Parts: sequence; C-alpha cells; structure tokens
Amino acid sequence: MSESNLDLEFTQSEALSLGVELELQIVSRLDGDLTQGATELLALIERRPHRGDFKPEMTESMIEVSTGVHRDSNELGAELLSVRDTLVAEADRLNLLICGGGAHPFQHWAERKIFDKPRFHQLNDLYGYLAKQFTVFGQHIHVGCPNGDEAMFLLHGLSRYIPHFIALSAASPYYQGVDTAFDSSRLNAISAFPLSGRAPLVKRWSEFNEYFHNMQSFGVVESMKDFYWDIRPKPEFGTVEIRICDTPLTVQRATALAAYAQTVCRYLLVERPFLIEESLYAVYTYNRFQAARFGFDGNLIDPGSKTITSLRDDFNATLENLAPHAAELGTSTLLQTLQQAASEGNDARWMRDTFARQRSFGDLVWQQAQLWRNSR
Amino acid sequence: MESLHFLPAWPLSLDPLACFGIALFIAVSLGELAARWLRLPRITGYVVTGMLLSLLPSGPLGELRGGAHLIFELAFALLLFELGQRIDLGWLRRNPWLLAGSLGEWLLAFLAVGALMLLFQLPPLLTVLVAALAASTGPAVILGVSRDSGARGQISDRLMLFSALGSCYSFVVLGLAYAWAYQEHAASWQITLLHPLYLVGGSVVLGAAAALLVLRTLARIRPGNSSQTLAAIAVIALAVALAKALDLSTVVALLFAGILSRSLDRERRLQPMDFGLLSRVALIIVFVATGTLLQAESFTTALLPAIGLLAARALGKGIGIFAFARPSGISLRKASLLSIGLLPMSGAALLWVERTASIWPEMGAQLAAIVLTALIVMEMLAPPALQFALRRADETRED
Repeated sequence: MSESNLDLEFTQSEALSLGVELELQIVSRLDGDLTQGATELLALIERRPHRGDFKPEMTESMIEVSTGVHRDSNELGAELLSVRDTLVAEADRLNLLICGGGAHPFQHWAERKIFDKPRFHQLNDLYGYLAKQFTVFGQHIHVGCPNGDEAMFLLHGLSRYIPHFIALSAASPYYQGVDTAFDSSRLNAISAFPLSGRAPLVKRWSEFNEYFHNMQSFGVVESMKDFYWDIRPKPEFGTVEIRICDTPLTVQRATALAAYAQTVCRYLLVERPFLIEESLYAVYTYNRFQAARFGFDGNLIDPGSKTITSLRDDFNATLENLAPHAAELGTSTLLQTLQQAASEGNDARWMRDTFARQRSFGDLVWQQAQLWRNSR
Repeated sequence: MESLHFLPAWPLSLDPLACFGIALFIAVSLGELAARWLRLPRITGYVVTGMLLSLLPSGPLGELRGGAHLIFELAFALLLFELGQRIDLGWLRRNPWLLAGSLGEWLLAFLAVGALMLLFQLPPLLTVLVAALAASTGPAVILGVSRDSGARGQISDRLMLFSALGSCYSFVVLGLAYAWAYQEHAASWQITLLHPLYLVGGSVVLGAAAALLVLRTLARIRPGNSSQTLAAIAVIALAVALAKALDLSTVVALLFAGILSRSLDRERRLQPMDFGLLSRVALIIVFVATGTLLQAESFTTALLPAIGLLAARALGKGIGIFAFARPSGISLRKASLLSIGLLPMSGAALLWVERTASIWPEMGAQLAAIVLTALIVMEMLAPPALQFALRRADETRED
C-alpha cells in the first residue's frame, strides 16, 4: 500500500504513436451463443509464435488482443491482421468462432462464467450482476503522448469527437435477443458503472494526480483501472486511451478507427482549434446519446458554435479539416473507408440488414464470424 | 338397495397409461431427490426408479416392461437425434488430432477389454461382442447429464463427439462380428454377408433419408418457429417406426440423421433442435426403462469379470485420451476430466444383447451375464462421475 501514495508517473512515449486493444467474442459453432473457451484458446496461442498480445477478460467467453506500438496505422493494420489469423486458426482447432461486435445479440448474461483470476472475482463481488452484464466488447485506442499535460489536453480535446467514434464503431444494435433501437447498446451497459462517462475537467498532470489521490483516499478507487471513463489517461503506457468504441466487425474498421484517432490528435495538437473549458462538456451526454441511439442519423450540438447539425455532416466537415494531417500521417485511404461507412451505413446497419434476411440470431452471429475471419 | 352400478369394479384395473403416470411421478420425485439432497444427476434417480419397478414381480406396473418398448426406442431416438445435431464433423477436419484421440480411446478400450476377456477364457467371437459393446461411451448419459447441468465448453463438446463416434465404431465392429457369428453357426454365405451389410447400409440410408426429409420440411418454416421442432419430431417418429419395421438400428439411423441434418444445413435454417420438455420426458423414459432392464440373474457370479472389464476399459480410454490431449489442444488436467467423463457405458448394449439373444439364444445369455452386470455398475457410478468431471471443468451452470 505504500506505493499507492506515490504520484502516478506519466511514462514518456512518442507523440501520436498508436496501439489498439480489441475485446472479442468467443462463440459456439453449434448455435452462435457465447461459450467458454478462453482458457484453452490462450493456452494454444501461447504454444506457437505469434504477433500481438492475448489476454483473458472478465468472462470465459471473451478474449482481449492487443498490438504493439506503431507510428504508422498501416503497420498497425498488418499486425492486427496477423493477430486475427492466429486467433481464428487456433479457435478452429477448438471448434470455436471468433467475432467482433459490441455486444452479443442474444446471450443471457446470467449464464456467463467469470474467468478464474482474483481481480475478476473481486469485481464480480463488488458489482454483482453488473459484472456479468458487462459482457460487452470494446475497442480501446491508445495514442502516445510525450507527457501528462499533453495527454490531458488530448483527453479533453477528443471529447468533442466522441460522437464520431461512437457512430463509426457502433455494432451492438441487438442485446439479449431484442433490437434495442440503439446503434450501440453497449454504451448503456457501461453507463451503469459509477465511474463511467467523462473525466473531470483537470488540465494538468499534477492536478490529475491530486484528483486521483483524493479519490484514492476516499477509497473510491484503488488504481487507474477503476475509472471506466470514455477517455482516460494511461500513465503506465504514456498514452491517452479512447475506450468509447464498440469492437467493430472487421479488422479494417478497427484499424481505420485508430487512424482516425491519430489524425484527430495531430489536428488538435497542431491547430489547437478550440479552448479546453467546461462548456465543451455541456452537450457531451446529449451528443453521446444521439450518436449511440441514431448513429450517423443523429444530431450533434457543436459546443463551440452552439449550432445543431447532423452528425454525418459534422463528421464530413471534420474530415475536410483533417485532410492535410491525414496526408502527413498516411491515413487518407483509411479515413476514406470511414467516410464510406458514414454514408453507406455502419456495422450496426450491416447487422440489422443481415438479421432481416434470415431472421435468425444464430445466422447473424455466424455471418459476423465469417466477416471477422475473411475480411481483408 | 340398488347396486351402485356407476362405481367401477374393485380392484381397479389400471391400464398402461396409469402405470406410465405412476412411473413418471416416481422418477421425477427420485430425480429431484437425487439432485437436491445428494447433488447427484437426476438420471441416477430415473435409473433407480426403473430398478425399483423391476422388483415388482407382476401386477399393473409390470406392464411397463413390455409395453414401453416402442416408447423407449422413440425416446432414445429423440435423444440420439439431438446429440447428432451437436456433432460437427467439420471439427475433425479442423483438428485431426481429435479423430486420433477418438480412435485411440475406442481402440485401446476395445483391445484392453478383449485381452481381459480372452484371459477369462471367453470364446473369441463372444470376446469381440463384449469388447465392442464396452468400448463406446453412452451417448444418452452424456446428453442427459450435460443437459441436466447446462454444461457448455470444450469437455462437453468433446464428450458428445467422442461418444457419437465411439457408437459408430462399435456399430461397425458389431456388424462384422455378426457376420462372423453367422459363419460359426454355419449359415450360408449369403446370410453371412448380407445381414451385416443390410444392417449397416440400411441404417445409414434411413438416417440420410430422415435428415433430408427434415431439412426439406424445415426449408419452408421460419427458423426459431416451434413448428420446426414439431416437424422434426414427426420425422423422427417415422424413422423409428421404419427402423423397427425394417429391422434396422434405430441408434445409428437417428444419430446419423442428426449429424447429417446439421452438416447439410448450409443456410443454418435449422436451429439446433431443443426438444425442451419433451427431451426431458425422453430422458426419464430412457433411463427408467434402462433401469427396469438391468437385471442380471448372474450378477454375483459375473461381478468379478465385469469389474475387470470396467477397469480395463477405463484404462484403455484414459491412455487413448492422454496420448492425444496436448496436440488436440487441452491440458492434461482437462484430459483427466475427459477420461472420467467418457466412463458411461451405452444403454444401446441392451438392444444388442436382446437382438443377439433372439438369434443365438445361448450366446445371448452369456453376453447378457457379463455386459448387463457391467452396465448395472456403470449406470450407478458413471453419471455422478461425469457430473463431477463437468463441474471440475467449470462447464456447468447450476443454481
């Protein structure tokens, strides 16, 4: 406990470097329902040489994969593809399917098994049914920062673009066997946790340390892990971590989301387009809800100009602002795929269309797994 | 006084329906008792019910034994179809070590039991029959216990796969053994050759036809609609009746129908059939009936060879599983749980004993003595062992 009173040291990392974590679903080939298999899957992967990192998650039906640190989003994409191939090959041997998506369309949370690790049992005791209901699957994007102050600047600046990330990644229209009408129902599962949502408006790393110690002395948190914010600093990695995204249905979308994060960060750092102040957050929950509920068809209130636009228009306008930075970072092609998704439909749209064809959730999950396995 | 003519005559005459009701009631009660108080699988309660019923010398409950035969086969067939649907043959292609493991555990159990029987100086033909019946794992017990405890995961999946494959290996070997038996009993070569061929080929063709019929029918019904289930049950009933009429194996036909109806279902129209409450009734019928049939007059004399058989069998299966555990992707700990889970013997042995006895009464009696004795022991010990294995593998969902 002695070290808990020490300041959180912010590890220095290269500005705009990238890393991605994806939480993925382990489902049964029999009926597409979530099944347990993380233990065997991890053991098999450990036995072969592989890129990326594989970790257990809260329940036996989840697996978390993560990449190394990359400067170039295309290299990140290549690593993710290799990680995907490893995972799919080993899952095949266990007769399991792997798929993306922010939530399983029809699983029953009460049936989940908590992965056998002290922290997970601890969380299960603390949060009760929430812990198992938390069987939702997200993508976390890490963007490197040279120091804590810059991480806090990016954290607050990125909050302006949270609705974009939500609508771009949304892939959880179905939950517990019903159409939730939301594009991303996963966000509703997260909102139940006490430390979810936005971070407090703390601009300097020293102030953040103060805040953290306060919370720690109240016993509210033990470590940074207890914050479930949409965006949080990750001092051990020296990054700002965007946690709002549903795990997309394809590796390509996951890569493009990381590229988008990288490009927005560069834009924020170079152009400093707005001031970081509390008014940024005045419309935060409204915008967040609109994006989760309606996807790109939702509204967005621009906190700066106080005008209402459609999220799609705002996203397209943002892409125009980003263009020079995208060219600089080599992310233009990836951002184009996002523009296409914004106009033609996100993963939630794909899931609704696919379900409409067969009206079978088992088939939907099967198709999701095929998409995850085959997308190039 | 006018006679109370509207009252029935005393003693009441109870028809088989009443017997069925009483048996079901006792079975459900004992099943719950087993689950609640002893933390045992419910099917243990069902088997005990059957054994208790068989103690009644005659009277109304005795009717059950004879009359329930067709219902027994139908119930068994439902379970086999359901099990077949959970078998994914593509898995063997994706992980060939599973095929090695399944062949290994079956073959080693077969050889171990065979060697022991020769040691007990059984004639070779009888040895082959006994070893083939002992080598496979009972699919109904696997399905019953894993359904009962809501099991899902690697061990449950592999148990189902191995018990289904083992049943098929046993079936083929039994068919060959029948050819041999005909030879020994000096039948003409036509019969020697044709009966096993008819048995194996006919059952497979019947299974395939049933699968196609199920899929054809289902193509017109929306997935998830309960009419799908009802249509499937109709086809299964028909297939059982045909298998009986044609003197084929219901076990293989229905298992095969289940497997094919899944692997041919390219559009995944067929939700994995969940016969729900009906399959619970089927479980009760199968295990109560198994219980009533578990009578070996020679229980005490055959006990020693039977226990030897079970030990040899367990050893063979264990070695086979351990040998291929790591390459097939499970830890040695899970391999030991898998070996324990594979202990149940197949109740289908009862059907084979009966069939054999009806053709060659003397050999049938010898077969019955040892196989039924082993089966009695296993029906008592194996389901709790299987439940233990699934619990330790953390695959069960129990309140």
